[in-house]
Amino acid sequence: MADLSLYSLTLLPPGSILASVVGNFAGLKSQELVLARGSNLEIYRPSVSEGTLGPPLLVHPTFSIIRDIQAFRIAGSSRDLLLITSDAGRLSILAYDPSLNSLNPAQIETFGKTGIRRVVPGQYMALDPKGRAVMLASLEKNKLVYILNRDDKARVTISSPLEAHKPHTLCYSLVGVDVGYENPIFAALEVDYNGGGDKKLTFYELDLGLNHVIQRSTVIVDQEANFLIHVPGGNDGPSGVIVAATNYLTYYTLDPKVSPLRLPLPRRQYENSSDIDSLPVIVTGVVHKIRGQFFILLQSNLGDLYKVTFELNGISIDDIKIKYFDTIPVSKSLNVFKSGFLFSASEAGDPGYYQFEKLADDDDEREISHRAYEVNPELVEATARFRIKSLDNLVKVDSLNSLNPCMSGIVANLKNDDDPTPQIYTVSGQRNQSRLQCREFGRRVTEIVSSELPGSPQFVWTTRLTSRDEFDAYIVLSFLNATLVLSIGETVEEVTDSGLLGDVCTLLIQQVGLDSLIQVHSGGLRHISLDKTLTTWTPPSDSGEVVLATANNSQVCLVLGSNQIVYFEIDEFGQLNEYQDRLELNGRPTAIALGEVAPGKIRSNFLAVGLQDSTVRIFSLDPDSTLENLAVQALSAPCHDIKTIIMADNTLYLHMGLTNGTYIKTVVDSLTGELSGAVVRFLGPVPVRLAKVFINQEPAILALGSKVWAGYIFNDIFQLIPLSYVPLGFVSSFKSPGCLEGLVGIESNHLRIFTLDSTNLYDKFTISEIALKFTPRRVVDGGKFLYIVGADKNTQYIESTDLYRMVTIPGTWSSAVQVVNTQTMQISEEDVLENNEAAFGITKCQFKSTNSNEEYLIVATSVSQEYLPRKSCTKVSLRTYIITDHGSSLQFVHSTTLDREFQEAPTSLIAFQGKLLVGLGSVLRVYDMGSKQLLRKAEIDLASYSVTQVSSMDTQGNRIVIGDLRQGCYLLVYKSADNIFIPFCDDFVARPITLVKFLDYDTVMATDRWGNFFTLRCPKDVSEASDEDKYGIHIKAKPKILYGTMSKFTLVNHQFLGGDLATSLHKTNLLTGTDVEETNNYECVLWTGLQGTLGLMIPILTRSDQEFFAALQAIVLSYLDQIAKQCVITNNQDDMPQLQNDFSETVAGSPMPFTGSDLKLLGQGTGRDHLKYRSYYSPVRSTVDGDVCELYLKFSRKIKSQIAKELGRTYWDIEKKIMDIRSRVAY
Amino acid sequence: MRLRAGQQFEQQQSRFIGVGNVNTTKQEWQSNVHRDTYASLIGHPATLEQLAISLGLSQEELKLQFINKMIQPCGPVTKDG
Repeated sequence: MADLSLYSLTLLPPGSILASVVGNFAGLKSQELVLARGSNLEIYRPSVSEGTLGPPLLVHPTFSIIRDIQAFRIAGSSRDLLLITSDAGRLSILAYDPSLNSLNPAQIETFGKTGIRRVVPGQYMALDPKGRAVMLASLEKNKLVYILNRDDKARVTISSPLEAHKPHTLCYSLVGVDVGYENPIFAALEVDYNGGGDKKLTFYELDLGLNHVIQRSTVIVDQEANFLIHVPGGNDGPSGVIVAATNYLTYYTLDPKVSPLRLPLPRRQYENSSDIDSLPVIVTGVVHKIRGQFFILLQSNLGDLYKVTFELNGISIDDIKIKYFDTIPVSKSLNVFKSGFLFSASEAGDPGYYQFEKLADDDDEREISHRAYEVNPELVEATARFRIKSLDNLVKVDSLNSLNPCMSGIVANLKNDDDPTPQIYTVSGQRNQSRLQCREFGRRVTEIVSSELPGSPQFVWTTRLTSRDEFDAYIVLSFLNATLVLSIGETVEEVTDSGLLGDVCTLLIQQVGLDSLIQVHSGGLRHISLDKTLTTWTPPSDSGEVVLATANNSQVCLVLGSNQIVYFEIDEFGQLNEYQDRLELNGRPTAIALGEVAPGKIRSNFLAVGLQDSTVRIFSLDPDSTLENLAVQALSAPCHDIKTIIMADNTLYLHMGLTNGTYIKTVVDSLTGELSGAVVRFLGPVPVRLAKVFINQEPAILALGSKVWAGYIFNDIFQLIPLSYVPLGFVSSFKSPGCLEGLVGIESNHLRIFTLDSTNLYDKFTISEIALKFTPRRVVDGGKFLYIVGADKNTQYIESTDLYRMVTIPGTWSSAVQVVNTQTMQISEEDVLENNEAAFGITKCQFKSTNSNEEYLIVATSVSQEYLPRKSCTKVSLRTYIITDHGSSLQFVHSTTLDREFQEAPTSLIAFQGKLLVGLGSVLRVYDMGSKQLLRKAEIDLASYSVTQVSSMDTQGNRIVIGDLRQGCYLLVYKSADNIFIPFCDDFVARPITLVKFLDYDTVMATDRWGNFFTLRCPKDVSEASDEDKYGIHIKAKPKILYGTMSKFTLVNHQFLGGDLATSLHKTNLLTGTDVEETNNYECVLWTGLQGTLGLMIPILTRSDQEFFAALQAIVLSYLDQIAKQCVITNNQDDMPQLQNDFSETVAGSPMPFTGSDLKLLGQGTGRDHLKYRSYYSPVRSTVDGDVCELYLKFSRKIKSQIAKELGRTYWDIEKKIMDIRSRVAY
Repeated sequence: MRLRAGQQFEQQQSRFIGVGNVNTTKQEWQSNVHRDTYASLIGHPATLEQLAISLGLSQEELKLQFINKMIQPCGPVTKDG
């Protein structure tokens, strides 16, 4: 089997939020926020005191397309549960378990077919505000009601569905009406398309007594109504719903006889009175109750928030008022927290977290009231205006990072000359959220101090004075022939009375026993107690000087020049006692490390010694077998440094930095000292020194090579991530009242104190960004500069308003070409297009005919572009710019108006053999440079091959691949002798291709507009035939097959990308870049997704690995499935025995293999079959889902071993394989 | 036998939207396809987002437009389709 097999991996999960809900999911006092982000569920617990969202508590991959989520609380329960509908055709109730930190299903109810279809309910989900019932609706016809309840053990139960179908009826919006504890009522905004097409508000009542849903009443509402929001009822308010239509709100009570209350929405007013917006449409809203009162916040399609308040007189309504509140980016959903914060899941850009400063109660903003409108509607409507203002009632306090919507990207190393790691540049956002982001692999650090020193220190240590101290007291700097002691306090000052010897090169400082310090230097060891009593130890004269030392709080080991190891212990009186024997080694030790003293123990049992002969040896320090050799492991080079650390998963790890720049992490068996499960990483051509530090209160390792790498366990997975900082020679951790997790390091003659940003450990990237003018469309790179075209529909650029730079005016376009300097992240040049001209395509091109190396930028534009009802524009042109000043500026040369009636600007332009190749509809055209305009040199109309719209192109040699928006991919060969193109291979099925790129000469990768990724291969004989003769006579003569070309591609790989749509494809290696000279350079495919995903496709190299990963995926999925099933069974069974023992039998007699912490669902939970999900449109082929495989790392140790046993491997071996395939090409 | 099959067929037609018969006009068939398409475009979050960005609308506005189009996707009902 020579075929390609791929391993798909998510580098950055999608950022697009479909829905967000707030609730007490953990059953604690705090409120949690749950986001449906792409196919993941994320839980956040915002910090009230700090006003931040914080890092997510949990990211739960559901492996399904989420349709809606809601939170509900069963009466009498103290916590909220999560309802979720997905493309599984199932309704699932998930409960958050704070102790396990997992979302476990309580119920999974099937109601329809899988997939997202017109008549399968789940598009809308509305809850009774008292949590008694939920209504699911599809876009057309079907509505189901489930009754939610609890049994006597407070477990949630769900009824069988009650139907409320209505044929030929389309549903626009669905909401649960607050009726207190009367029968639950749902309101739907509907149109019967066979019955006149009137828009109706229908109330459905669930009769709890009869277990039946009836249609209670129907009223005809505003034809442009689109959105419903409930008004608090019962004891809290008047009940009913607000129907939001374009420019109007209408309030309806449940009683059809009561006339509705109507009022207009305030509209924007601009400086220039001729600037008129389209009428506002309400897109989302939120109801908030505070202290017996309530208000409603609604947001319009322009982002303006309105506050709606009710004036009540007992139970009757006196008046309804609305006023402009603030303007924030347009949201998918809004959530108000009890603590006075607002979360906005913005459609584009970073979702924002705001604090309410005030509630606009007494400002001078004009308020529109229903009473006034009733009296004089024309006047009120004409004067219902406001001026947009900067945030007044809200303050933005935090935001989540989101790449959504990511329009395109570039992977290239444009920044560093000495480091091959490429950066990922993405253009994302929409309108005034548009930006270019540069992601560099590495975590950001914050520098606190950087000070120059008189010399270059060898080592730096921090130490406390007694074991009870919380903070460090001294910083000790060791120079070649001196030691400097600094005190840590308000100011950093030199200490002279520390008792430490100042005129030697210190090898080690360690606080030992209760209250003493030891200082090791080449001449021996000094043991200084708090009262400055000094004990010294000097090596015997025949043994040479001390060369290496290691110590922990109760043990000290010294290596002498004669390759002897001296071992000391500190007894309970603080006395230093030498062990009677010395260990004679055969080779020269290069590194030494004492194990950590586990909590509750008095000593570490292991001593690790790295020897010059490229081995590492473990010696026992157990009193019964002191200095006995326990284990040996051969290495690729001698150790430069060794550290042993008990990390967050309570496992003792041996970290080794080798002289050849390799870092190795292995596990030390806590009983036998055996080494296993090595993880090897090459960090650069510099010997690696190590430092033990704390990250997020957990022990971590720093590997100091050509960069500083931080290794820590996060989210149950070991991460090794570089810091975006200078390379350091030595690092110690540093703890003071002002800086709890500081690090102090030395870099030649600089002392640097810094901290790691631990706020978001999820993000492996350091992000720098710059705002762009308009929604970016495409980007090309040229050396250190990026060229970006942006265009916005319905938008006009207003110079004067800096806050919201744009006005929405239907039918207008704003567009610009911008040049960004990637070194400074600044815009170096921009060309704003005028007269409704908008740029969509861009490429960089050199023209051979100009006989110069000058580079040109070709920008494809169209004027007054419209898409609906059909594509049309008044003019299509190619604007040519010459790139000057080493890339930083553009000079307009000429514009070429295309002669034929093309209905949109071409988006596929590439440089082709010293000319420009453009795909225009079904036509391919070659242009060359002319003095007045571009000159047409060759053309082929591919309509006879069924091509309709070329969407993407790529070229290699004489070969071109084009992607057609309807028909799939085509391979063409260019015969320069005749100046013709001959199509010779195409797709066997029609696919709506959006992107296509060569993987190799015969293989192409492509994505389609439904979110599939696939690779296609041209048959070998056809490929050879195409290149055979100069004129292509042979392939021209072959008959066409099925209105296409002479032969068809074969499908190699196929995978559904998980709901996201790819916006760019790159062949790269994220660690070493695309270095053609490197022969051993593995490459992978990186794709950027519209919803903000960064994903990888990594080739699996061997047949055995293919089988292994496929088997691992299957087995992990089967475990997830079993756990999910057991969660539901556990919830539903009447008398569950207390599961104490493993594998205890249940009442039903079926084995319940998962207990306690094993019963933690790591993924899924919506009831979606993973195989069907990845085969959403077409069966998955030769692709393994790496995200599933990586879940293996998060299983409990018991399940890991169980899976390993079933696969016939050890779990270290499996972990290593999973880590290796990722770290070969990425991070 | 034939009567029973006919009844079953009618039942299927009422249960599943889009099941046609000999008298289904081209317009009815096309309307059905269009409605399915719009429902899919609305239902898949990324597709809706992509279209909303390119049309310069908010997602809610586009959803409203698409559901409006589902009312009569191929114009008013005519006799011969």
